[in-house]
Amino acid sequence: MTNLKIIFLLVFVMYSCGEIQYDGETKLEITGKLIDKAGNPIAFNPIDIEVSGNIPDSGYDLISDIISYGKSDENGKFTFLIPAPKLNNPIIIRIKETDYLSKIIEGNKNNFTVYKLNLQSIILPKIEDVVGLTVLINPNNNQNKQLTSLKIIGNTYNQNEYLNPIEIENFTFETYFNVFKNQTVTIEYKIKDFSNNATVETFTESLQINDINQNFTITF
Amino acid sequence: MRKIILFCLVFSFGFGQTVEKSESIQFKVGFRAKLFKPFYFGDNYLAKANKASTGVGANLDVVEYRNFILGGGFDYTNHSVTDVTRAGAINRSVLTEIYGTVAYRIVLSDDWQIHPFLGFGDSKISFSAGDRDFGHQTGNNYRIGVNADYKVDKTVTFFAGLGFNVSKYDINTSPEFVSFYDNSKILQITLGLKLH
Repeated sequence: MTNLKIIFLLVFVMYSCGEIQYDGETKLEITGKLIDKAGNPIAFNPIDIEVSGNIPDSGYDLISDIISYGKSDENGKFTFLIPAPKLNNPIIIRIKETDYLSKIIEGNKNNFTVYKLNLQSIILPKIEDVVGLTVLINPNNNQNKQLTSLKIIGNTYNQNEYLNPIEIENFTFETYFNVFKNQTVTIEYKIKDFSNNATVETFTESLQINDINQNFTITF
Repeated sequence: MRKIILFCLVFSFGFGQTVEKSESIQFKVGFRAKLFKPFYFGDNYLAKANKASTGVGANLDVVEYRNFILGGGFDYTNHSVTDVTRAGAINRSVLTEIYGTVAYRIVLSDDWQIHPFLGFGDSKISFSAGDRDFGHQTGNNYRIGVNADYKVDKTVTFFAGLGFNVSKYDINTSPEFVSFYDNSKILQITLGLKLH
């Protein structure tokens, strides 16, 4: 019976440790306004506020709480007040997809000024105005060359916005882009050639974006 | 808060008995159990983002001196959250208050007495969702009110009361929301039973 109690206690402690802790005496304000490309308010668009983190001492086991949710008002404005996480956990604003594309904005307590994060105006494009551009990377079994940079220059829409710089592993790239229809974009990429004193060569190619999803392959 | 609890504990050793210390000071223990309906006022968290249930509480009268009665009490009120955008995705705010009181006994007849009172103590709002704890807010509360006692027999008295309770809470938030989270104003209508 005593062992059973200890096991229950340990389970309770482990369970408690696996939760994000909050400071009820600190309320963080998150505010902003959703608008379309023409500046019109986007009313009644659902929004979630999420706090995430790692379970202590567990490596990368993620835990998260939907700490608030609601909708933009008739003027596209939204204001949420949430209890502050005790640690500097990521705070994620998820603007959900409706007739407009979704957006995810990630920050933490450092991005708040006097307990307030004002996201100002957030422009969401209509789904019908945007297509997907997937860049396929084909090294063609060439061990001596490596893609070191990839950039789309044009009218694009970034669904994930990080308020703080994120650490990106070397040579890991976003390969899917939301681009507006009916435009010409420039794809700029850099190739490092290890067989030639590791020289880096920059390439630019134009691509006409129509009104369907497109692929573009970089072969080197 | 510790001082109030200590005060109540020390004097509650005499619970259930009446000991006359002198002609003017009496250790006279009376226990009140009560239900109360809170009505919230103002543009503040408990009033605008919560719906209160009926509260429960208890009071202990411990010392009487020339009709002044010193005591203490405990109130507990559960609230369901109605505005997630102000509360966060929690579903419960529990208000607990521990306080000391001084009342004045006005005898109207053998059966009827009136007890106006003043009180001061600690307040705490605990936030939770299911069994998850989302922190708490603490502060001070000040109260004023009156109880009307009707003596049923030597040991039992029914009472009804009306009280006004103001709390001031500690809060860190953006300046435009400080006044929303830093106070509560509650009118309490109370019904209860007093044991002598």
